[in-house]
Amino acid sequence: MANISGVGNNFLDSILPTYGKPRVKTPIWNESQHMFITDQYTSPAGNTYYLGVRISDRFVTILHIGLYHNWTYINEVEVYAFDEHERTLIGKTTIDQYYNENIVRSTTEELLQNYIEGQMKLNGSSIVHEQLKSQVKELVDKSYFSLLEDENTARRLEAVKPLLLQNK
Amino acid sequence: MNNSLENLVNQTLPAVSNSSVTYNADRNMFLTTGYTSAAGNTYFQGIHLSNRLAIVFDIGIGYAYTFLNGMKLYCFDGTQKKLIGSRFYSCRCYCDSFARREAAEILYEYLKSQAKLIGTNISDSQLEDYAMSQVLSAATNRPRLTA
Repeated sequence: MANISGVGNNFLDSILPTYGKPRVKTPIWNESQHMFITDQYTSPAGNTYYLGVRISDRFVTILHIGLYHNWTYINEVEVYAFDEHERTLIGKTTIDQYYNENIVRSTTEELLQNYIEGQMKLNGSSIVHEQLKSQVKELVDKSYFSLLEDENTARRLEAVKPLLLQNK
Repeated sequence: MNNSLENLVNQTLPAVSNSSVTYNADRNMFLTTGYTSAAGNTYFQGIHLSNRLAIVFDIGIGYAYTFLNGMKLYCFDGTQKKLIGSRFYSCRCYCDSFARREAAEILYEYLKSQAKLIGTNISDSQLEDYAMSQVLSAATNRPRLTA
């Protein structure tokens, strides 16, 4: 096997083990989709399901994703408020269609917007709809960060590790 | 090709969703049986396999072209597979060199992110070289899955 000099085989063997050997229990990051992949599960029918987890400073988006033959489906989107200690479900919807990043993004924005509007009504305050829409869009954009480039990730990661380390 | 290896691939990579695989020696790839749509387009998966990596291509054959619609990389955790990266493509014709470069990039991103998460310092060039070597090993060497 090709080695990386100066590091030895331990690191590579732990994250890319040979068939039959265990993989180290670290979260898996999918850079192209800007999310962690966790809770991977293959049903007896052979379909694979996993959760995609996107984190930001204020909320966490959890995507329920299914793989069937050539196709990737987005089954459900959940949004949680997250204060670095505890998560609270603030919105959830079932989609059940081919995975499309635009649909996922707009669904996340809608769930967040509905939650904020509801909270504002309860508090007796209001905001111009377009202004809220723009601010929500900005919040959601921030959750599409790159783990490979974002310096704040390490700090946020410690806080969300309990969420991520549930690999099946 | 050893039938027990095809059986093992069927068990280990059921992302093919109960579709069985056969080994194509010309392409050094396992191919699923596939599905033909009402429009006459055929969809199947091609799998390059090594003892550390499975690269799954989502392929579509249209009227005139063969398209690469997506790609998923899996590592192993014991005898189970673990998705470590994926990409989607639109209107991208299939080409071996492009597919391998993309697979190497996805693997590099996985290696780099793991190095960050574990706190190991390795140069980008070393990770890139290692990623390409693993992809080429899966693409060109005779496949095997041995514990």
